[in-house]
Amino acid sequence: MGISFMRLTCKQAHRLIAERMDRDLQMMDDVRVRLHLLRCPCCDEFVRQMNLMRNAMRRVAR
Amino acid sequence: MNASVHPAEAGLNRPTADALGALRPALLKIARRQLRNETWAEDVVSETLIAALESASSFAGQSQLKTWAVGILKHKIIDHFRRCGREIEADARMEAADVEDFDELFHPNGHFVNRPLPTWGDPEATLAQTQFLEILQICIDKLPANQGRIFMMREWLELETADICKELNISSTNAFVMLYRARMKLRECLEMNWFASARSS
Repeated sequence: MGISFMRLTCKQAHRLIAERMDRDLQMMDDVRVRLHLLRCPCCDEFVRQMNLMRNAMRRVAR
Repeated sequence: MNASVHPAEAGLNRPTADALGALRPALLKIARRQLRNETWAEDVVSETLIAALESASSFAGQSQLKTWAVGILKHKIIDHFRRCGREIEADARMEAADVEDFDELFHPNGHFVNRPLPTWGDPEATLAQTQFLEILQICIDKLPANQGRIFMMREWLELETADICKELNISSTNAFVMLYRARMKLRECLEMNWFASARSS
């Protein structure tokens, strides 16, 4: 038995990374995302982009 | 006003009706972005200005007048959702049902078409630019109404998703789908209208 069930595609990872902004992920999903991020610079950049958008929203309209 | 307070101290920072009235256009712009409805926006801004005038003596003068008024506006908008959330629920459910998978970003195997994902560089440098924040707001205005509304509730009003679901009477699944789409579209809009041109210049 391999660990392929832990693997996410970038598309799946994106969805979970975005949803992580709005809810706590289930433990397995959280681990899957972390494992994916370790070897995927694209999704890692996507995390930074999501965070940048949140921080920017803290500065508008106040 | 309390007679024991030194008059200069009490009157100095109390905002006038004129000063508050001058904020009206700015407040309306914010309210429109959040509510996506002209009548509702006019209503909450009027309520905000009335409340601000009534509580003018509580304005401490430590923050900017606009910041203080925006704080009141946020409360009025949340009140509005409490009263009228149901009016937008059916609409929101329909929007969540639309198929939208952002497939152009990914290969059929689920991996990226563009590798590496173009970087957005140093976040602090970006955030320091007021023009970037303006582009962000234009991008929010371009979102479908309910996605824009829910994104603003989450990121500007800073409500928890559970509270948003309660106010709008939508399922959490619908909320997560709409927020996901809003985030993906905003990312795309910022990439196209800010980062791509910054990179090429």
